[in-house]
Amino acid sequence: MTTEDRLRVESIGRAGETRMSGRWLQAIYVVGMTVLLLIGANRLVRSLDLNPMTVAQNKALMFLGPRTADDPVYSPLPDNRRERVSILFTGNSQTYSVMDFSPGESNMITSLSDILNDGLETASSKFPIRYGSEGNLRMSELLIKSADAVVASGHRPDVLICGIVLDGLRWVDARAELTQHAKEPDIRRELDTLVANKAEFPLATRVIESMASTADVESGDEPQALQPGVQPKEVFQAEKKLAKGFSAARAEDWLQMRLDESVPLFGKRRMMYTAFIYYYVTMRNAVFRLDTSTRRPIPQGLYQTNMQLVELTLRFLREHGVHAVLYFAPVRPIEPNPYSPADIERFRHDLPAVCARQGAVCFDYSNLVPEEMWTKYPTYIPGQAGQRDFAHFTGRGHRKVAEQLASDLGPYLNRWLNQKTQQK
Amino acid sequence: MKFQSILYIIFLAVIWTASLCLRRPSARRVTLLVASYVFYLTLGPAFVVVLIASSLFNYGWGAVLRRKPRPLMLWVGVLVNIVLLMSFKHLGMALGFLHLQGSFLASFIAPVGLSFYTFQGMSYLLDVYREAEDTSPNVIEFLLYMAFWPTVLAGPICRVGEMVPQFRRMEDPALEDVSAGTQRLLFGVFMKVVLAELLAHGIEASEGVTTGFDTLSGGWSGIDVWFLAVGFGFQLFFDFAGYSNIAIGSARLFGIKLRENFHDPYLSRTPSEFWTRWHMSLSSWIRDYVFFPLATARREVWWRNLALVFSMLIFGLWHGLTATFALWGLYNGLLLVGHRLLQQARPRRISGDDGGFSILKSGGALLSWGVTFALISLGWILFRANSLSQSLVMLRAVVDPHRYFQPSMRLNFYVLVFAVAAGYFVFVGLRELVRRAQKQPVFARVIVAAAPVLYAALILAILIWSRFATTFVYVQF
Repeated sequence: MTTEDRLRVESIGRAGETRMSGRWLQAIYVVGMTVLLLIGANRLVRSLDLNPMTVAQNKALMFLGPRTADDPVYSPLPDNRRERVSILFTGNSQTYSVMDFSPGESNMITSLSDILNDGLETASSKFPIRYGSEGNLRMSELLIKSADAVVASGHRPDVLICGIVLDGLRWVDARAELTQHAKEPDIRRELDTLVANKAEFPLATRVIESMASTADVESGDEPQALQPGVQPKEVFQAEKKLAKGFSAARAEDWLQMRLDESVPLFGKRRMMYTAFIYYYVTMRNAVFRLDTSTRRPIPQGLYQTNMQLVELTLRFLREHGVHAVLYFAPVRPIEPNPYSPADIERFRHDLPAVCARQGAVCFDYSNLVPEEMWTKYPTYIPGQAGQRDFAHFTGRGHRKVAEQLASDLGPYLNRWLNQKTQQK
Repeated sequence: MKFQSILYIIFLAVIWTASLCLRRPSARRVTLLVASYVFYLTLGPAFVVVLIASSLFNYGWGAVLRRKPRPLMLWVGVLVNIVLLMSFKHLGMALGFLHLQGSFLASFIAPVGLSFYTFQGMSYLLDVYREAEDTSPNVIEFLLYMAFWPTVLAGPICRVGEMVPQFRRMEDPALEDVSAGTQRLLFGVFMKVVLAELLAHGIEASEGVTTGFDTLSGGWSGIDVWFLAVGFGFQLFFDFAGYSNIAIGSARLFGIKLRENFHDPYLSRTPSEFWTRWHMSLSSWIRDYVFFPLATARREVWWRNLALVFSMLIFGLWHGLTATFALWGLYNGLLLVGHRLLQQARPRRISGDDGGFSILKSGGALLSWGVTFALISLGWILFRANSLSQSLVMLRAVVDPHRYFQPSMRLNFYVLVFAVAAGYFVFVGLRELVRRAQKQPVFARVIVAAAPVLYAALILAILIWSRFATTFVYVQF
């Protein structure tokens, strides 16, 4: 090798080394900066405080919580005794939230409890009522709630009331939190039984199957048994089998829990998702010029599935000795209205028919709350300023619904109480 | 253990460190093998028994074939693999029929990744028989080839010839390997945890592809079916390509290069091109071991076309013995044959490229791409539908002008599918721009400077969505 060759080789070597150290520097910069940015995000997220229930709502809208620290309405269901008829009041945000709240007002659940029990419920009250509502309740979630109520041995309610809003029929699948709840072994057993008798309500059964698989997936179980085409029974069995001997999922859950507790970026993941949805919806509404009065049609497929879910739930409750009371929730009596007259008429016709088939009590309150008991969104909410609220009404509206319910339900409650006390 | 879990990151870090500490390639191979079995063990102890049995059988039979390369011996080996695949995949059904669901045999139902590693085993036997395999792996190398954890669950389906030499080298991974591997991992997890999940379950429950297929149960309009088809196509792509990225990235961290599984399939301008870009490891397997041997058996064109359709039928049935998968395979086989016939029939003067369905060269590419995209997307209805009747109802809606534009899903679903699909094509365009810009040193520096923002954003998105994750469509096969 000549001197020239040697020099060339050496210079190539040096250039290679320079390139190499440059790559290392680049790698260190990229990793370091990424970590720094994540630390920054972690600090920002620490102060993030979004309530998913109120983030996109009118601040004058009160999501009423307990009046007192031991408010009976918000306490667990009481023991099921012969001398009383206990009631679980399920519904949605319309059931428990009060628009333009004034001190002293309460929602329909609390008002109904006060009316039926002549004031604040006591240990000797005949009709203890418990709060069981969920914002934007879907019919699949009503089924989970019903199963949950039924499996509470010794605390099973005698009556389940549910107000159904039309918007609830535009969704099918249950949300993650409730789907997760459906994984409780007792609830799963009830759902198993429903799935086994699938022939009568095929559409509803599919939702339950889908719910079962989602619950498994989100718990971190191996998803191989949970794909479309797998028979529902296999789904449940596979889940049980894996839950027993499987430790990797448990280890992962433990790790996630520790991280949730110590790192805000982990602990506030749901809140960050809420923020994402909020900004997305605001942007979407602006792009598509959507407002609260934009028509919200209920597609036929979703409607049929939901009606099957309602009927399945009613049958399930009846078979477990729980009296079901459904009412068509108040619709704001004004045009333009987000609900089409055809959808309103269809539901007004179908709900009583379903209730009659399953021996449930049904009321139509769609025209109950007059226009003056509804309000508008205030001007400070971006994208919703001054728009009509078609979902929630004022405290007076709540009182009106509660009084109507008390009046319509009273005879039934007394009859059920008599039947109960006469039982051996 | 799932790929997209904290536990997996810890697992990877431990194995990586242990592997670096060990200097001898043989010690590294043993470490990887033990790690692979530990990984697989977390999915079910009984599954490991099936994996080891399959591996040992194929290794042993390979040795026999090497000595006596007779067709009968090959067919016995292949048949044993097929029987193994079929029996374990349908064990659940058999046990149900015999009322033995509660027996210990139930723990052997459908071992995860069985279809993938069985095909790896079969390719070894076929290569040995054809004398196309000259690496002669020892038992540890072969066990590792079959059980290697990045590939064992859902591929890419590898060949002995490309894996064993890498196992033998097992040098320290270069910085480039670690960097590329980490990038693939990050993008893979993002595709799988964020994009695939978004499409599957929607922005909120009831707004995703899953609802459209599983709980809508009828009443689909034409526009619904198109969006569901495209939405599912992208869900599957992000799910599986994301998974493949994680697998390829994981292996790359150890300096091992796996074969690619996806190459921008939705940019394909012809069905033939699509099938060279989608699930490439399986499509090349089918091409090498099913189509070529069949197609070369006779010289007639009709025979070649029949071989093509048959190969795609096998491709479909590999996913499961159902009418919908069979129909999906046949449909794609017919698309490929149709494309061939069109290619042969089109005028020579405009056949300057592989434009496929193109009629005019200028603008024809776009038309060809659009037609291919639409036809491939429609095929996904067959793939995803829960039954043959459901797929027929959905496909009927596509040609039924009655209430074609009356949507049945929530608005967010349509926005999401459009945004993700459009976003993907914008991303591909941007990626190409970046690739070109990188040739200029100034732009290259800007890109490096901006990279941490992208990575941090991806990690943030993964974290946000990780509580909702996740399903993996391909792990069922």
